[in-house]
Amino acid sequence: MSDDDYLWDPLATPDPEIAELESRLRPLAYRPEPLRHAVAAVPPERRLVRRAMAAAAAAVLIAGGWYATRTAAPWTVAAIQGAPVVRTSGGAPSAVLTVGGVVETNARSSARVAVGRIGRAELGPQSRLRLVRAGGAEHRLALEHGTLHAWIDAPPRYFLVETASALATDLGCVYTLTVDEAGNGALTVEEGEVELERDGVRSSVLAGNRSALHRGAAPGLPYPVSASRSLADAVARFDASPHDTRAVNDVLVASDARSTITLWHLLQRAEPADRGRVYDRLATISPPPATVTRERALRGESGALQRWRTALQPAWAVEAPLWRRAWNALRSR
Amino acid sequence: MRAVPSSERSPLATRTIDDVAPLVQAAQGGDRTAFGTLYERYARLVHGVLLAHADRDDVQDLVQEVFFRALRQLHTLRDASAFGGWIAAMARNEARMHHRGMRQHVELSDQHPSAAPPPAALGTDEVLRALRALPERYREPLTLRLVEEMSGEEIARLTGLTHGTVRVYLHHGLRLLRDQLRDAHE
Repeated sequence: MSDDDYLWDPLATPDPEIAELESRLRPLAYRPEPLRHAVAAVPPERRLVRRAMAAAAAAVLIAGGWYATRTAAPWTVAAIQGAPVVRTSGGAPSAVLTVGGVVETNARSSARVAVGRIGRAELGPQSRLRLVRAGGAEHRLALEHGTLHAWIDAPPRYFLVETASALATDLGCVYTLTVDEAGNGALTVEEGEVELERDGVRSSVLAGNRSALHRGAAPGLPYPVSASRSLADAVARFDASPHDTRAVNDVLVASDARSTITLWHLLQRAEPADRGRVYDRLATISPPPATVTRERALRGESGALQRWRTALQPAWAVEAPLWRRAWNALRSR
Repeated sequence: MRAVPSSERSPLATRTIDDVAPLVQAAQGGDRTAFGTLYERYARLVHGVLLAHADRDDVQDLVQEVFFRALRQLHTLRDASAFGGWIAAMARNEARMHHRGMRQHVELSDQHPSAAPPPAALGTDEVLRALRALPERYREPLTLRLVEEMSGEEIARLTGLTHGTVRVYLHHGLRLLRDQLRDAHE
């Protein structure tokens, strides 16, 4: 009998040598345990962090049924520094943010806003934030200018922030959105994913990535926060001149194995004449699944591009270190 | 080969995972029971992948970490039927993030000749060390087979690899493992 039989099927007649290896390795096999009960098994110094992680996970898990009751909470505003101003839609001073109302900070003030009961947001100095909608279907804010740092624990597409240049849709995460008076800015995602959208053009910005916002233009190509300066500069040139072949070339030259998120988006935005080179560069770094042919990708077939994305995406998200995520989980409470 | 009644086979061996896509879609829609079922079915795969890369003392803990991340990122999975490959990739990333030191192991060449079987008196750590020194494409399937005691068919189903690929990886991986263990004892 060949050891291949037993190697393929553990229920076949055992091969003594393989059985010996199995017996040596058996103590390492998976020991079934309930989901989220790992806290008790971790070393003491990690338990606090684990508890925070478990608490965050539990919050996500029970979000569904409990959800409607969470959304009715008042949007309280507290000063972090100085004296932020809160006004109703009619301009009257208020202690809580109401629909149509605004929170404003000056150069010496910042504020913490309770986002219903789904998380919170911190508004940096020189910022103006308006509450557009606070209902069971969505929570929508408008960041007119300034910096918003959000910790959100809600189902995808429930928390949205409008800016002058794009709509930022939370897909379950922690992120920072900065917009200047002109409507230009940047989105940096620390956990999860945010989708930026304008006129049907979307940027999926996963943890560890950034995308620029340009008033009157599509959201910028996402790129890793850790990307080289040359890639960041090349992306900025493309965002400013998306029809310029030289800008496409600059991105291709500056790209590396970490920038497949940038190349995947570029494949859909580059001019048709440039897409072949984008495809070749991306395929060199990470060949597409067998069903994603060059022709289908260049035609921009959604199914093909999404399949490639599924294969690429595990490498896109660069989550913050465990301690940082635990800290975020605690801060979002 | 003796005939094996279906009742003796492990749940994973007999259960089709063709229904993984509806489970993933249900979980994406907020069905926590469906997510729990995914955890039950794929925890062993995730454990095996992690063990092939990360420190053994942290692996049980990291399984929880991977599913925690999966819960938060599940909505980003477009092809629900690709869940196995997706969560295995997530496990690899998790192991790399937390255990970069493990990557210092020197991988063997594919060209080692076949050799005598390993000595009987081997320790768990010694065998694990040899397993981890295998090239990555052999290391994971062989870990799933020898540690998690999955069948080749299960490995193929859960990882999305073809039967032929898994068979080749197991066969070559075992040959390299023998060589590695023999060298360790010489």
